[in-house]
Amino acid sequence: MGQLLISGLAIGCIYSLASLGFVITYKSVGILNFAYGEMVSVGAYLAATFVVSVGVPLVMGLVLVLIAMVGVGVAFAYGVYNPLRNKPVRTVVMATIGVSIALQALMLLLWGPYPKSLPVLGSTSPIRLGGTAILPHNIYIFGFTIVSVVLLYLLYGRTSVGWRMQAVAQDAEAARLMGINVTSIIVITWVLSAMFAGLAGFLLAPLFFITTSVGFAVMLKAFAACIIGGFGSLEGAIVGGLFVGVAESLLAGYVSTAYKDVLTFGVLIAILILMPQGLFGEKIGEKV
Amino acid sequence: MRQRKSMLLPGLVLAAAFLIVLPLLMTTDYWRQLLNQALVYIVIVVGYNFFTGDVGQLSMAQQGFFAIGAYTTALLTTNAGWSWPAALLSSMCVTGVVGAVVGIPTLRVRGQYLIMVTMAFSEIVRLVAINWSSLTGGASGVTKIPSPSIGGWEFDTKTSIYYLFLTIAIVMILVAWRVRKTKYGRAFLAIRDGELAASVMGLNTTYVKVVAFFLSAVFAGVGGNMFASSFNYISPDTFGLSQTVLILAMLLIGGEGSIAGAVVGAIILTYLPELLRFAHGYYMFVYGVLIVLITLFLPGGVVGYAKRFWSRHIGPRVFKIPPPGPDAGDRPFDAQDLFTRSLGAPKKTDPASTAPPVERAGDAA
Repeated sequence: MGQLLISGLAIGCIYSLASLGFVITYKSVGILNFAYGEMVSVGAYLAATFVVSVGVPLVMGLVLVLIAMVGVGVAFAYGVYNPLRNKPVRTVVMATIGVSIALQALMLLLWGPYPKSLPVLGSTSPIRLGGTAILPHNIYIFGFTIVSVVLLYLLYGRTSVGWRMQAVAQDAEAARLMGINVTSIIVITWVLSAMFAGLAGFLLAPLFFITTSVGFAVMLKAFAACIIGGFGSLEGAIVGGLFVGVAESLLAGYVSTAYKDVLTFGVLIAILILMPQGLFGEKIGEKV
Repeated sequence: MRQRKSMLLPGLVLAAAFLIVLPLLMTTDYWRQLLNQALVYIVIVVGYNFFTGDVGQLSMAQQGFFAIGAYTTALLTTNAGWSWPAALLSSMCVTGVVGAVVGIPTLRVRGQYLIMVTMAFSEIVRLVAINWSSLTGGASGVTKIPSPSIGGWEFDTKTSIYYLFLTIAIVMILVAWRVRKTKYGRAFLAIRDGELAASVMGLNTTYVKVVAFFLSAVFAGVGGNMFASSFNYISPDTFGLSQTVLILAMLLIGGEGSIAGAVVGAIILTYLPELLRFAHGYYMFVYGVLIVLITLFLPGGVVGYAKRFWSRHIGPRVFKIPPPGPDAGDRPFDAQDLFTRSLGAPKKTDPASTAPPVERAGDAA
């Protein structure tokens, strides 16, 4: 039980990070980014490239991944989102689906069909704590999650860029009239989103084999997390992510490993239909 | 008008003759196989058009239904030894029931959320196909699926399968064409053009959407049956996310909201990989880019473009109010249009540039 909870919380932290990146773009531009899963995959592949192929130390690898994801975010904002900004939602969403498929193919082209892997952070011998064994990697995951969530809250609450981001999320038109450069704020939002995707991919890489489709399931779970927590709220994304991780781990432990994803997606559909406002979130009745 | 009618009959005869000799023109079995594949996709995409083209709601569930239809036929004809017509009927029934059961609760969500939910549904179907190996054969799939046979007739060559599938495809296209003439067909379009307005007019929009979803599912069931019995082998690999995207791309490139568009798109994208041989397995990249480009520059797809081209440069100069297709559907038809049209000069104005895009009810997010 304790074992399952620890590993569930660790994977839940990764889902929380992924959900945060997923939800901040939705908050500011109202678009679900269907290419988000591929951003996570790109992060994981980049981590494997820097750490395994090039041979830089893990922490240095993380920094490099985050820098590279800034590039991905800028490219996405200027290459995909900005040209489509004034198009109907459906067009933009369709374009993100197109981008997701193109990115998958591109990853296949760049990294080949064989799965890659990444070593875990820290040592491989678990730390014993009472009856449960905790891998140092899991502790790193907790640490990175707490640090990045705190940084995100500081950014939103204490910096002028964060205030401007909030203003744009609330009402882009009013923000523009107040003299805020909406375009650059939206670019920053995409960059932030891509960085969270990269961090999630980096932490995920040692736990799974890295394939072009590893991010797809993460995106669906991030979506589930956002729905469970209530769409559009950051706290909801964090708690929802942890919930999905723990639920998945318990389902795998007590019900069936093979069907854990089936059950998780089933729960997602059920919650979306039965409780569209999530556990503690904004009502999305009209947004749905 | 008179001239048109006199051209209709010879045109039909010519088209029929062409379709009949087509497999004889193909030099290899591989090319005949592609013909059959095109027919499978025609049925699936024509069905997909009900929900995603006509009703205008993006669904990613078509591949899930396709998989269910294919697996139903595969398992019934191999394990249970059922005949092909019985398997076809069962595929239609199973996908139809699943479509209704999934649709009734799911279709209360709309827009981007619906895409996610239907994606999750298709992923569930695929994961079950992989993991329930005692029934589905797991990741290695189902092999040795018998070819179609009706009574004593065996359709065991590519050419004979072609004629059978051509018949099925024509029947399904006629069904789809007929449905558009019914009150449901009109209700689909009403929801696309304004869900709120349609519901205010007394339309039970959820019910109508479930009907469209159900029809899409049944067509996918037929397509699944055709796929399984002509390829004789299926595996979960076939039914990944890329399959949905392929079906979506077919509809977009052909032209959403039009049966002709669905047919044309299915044919184009079945043969495109042959033209993109130099790109090896990476034509998915081209598909992705194509989807982006088509949504941006060619709303209405190839067929929509051909229609506009025809009415601008070739056809009789009749000014009629355009049906609110996907190209015009992004904004309401307004007085400006009447004004420009009454001047008799349908200039090349980009409709998107004259008015700010107005979100349709279904897109609200």
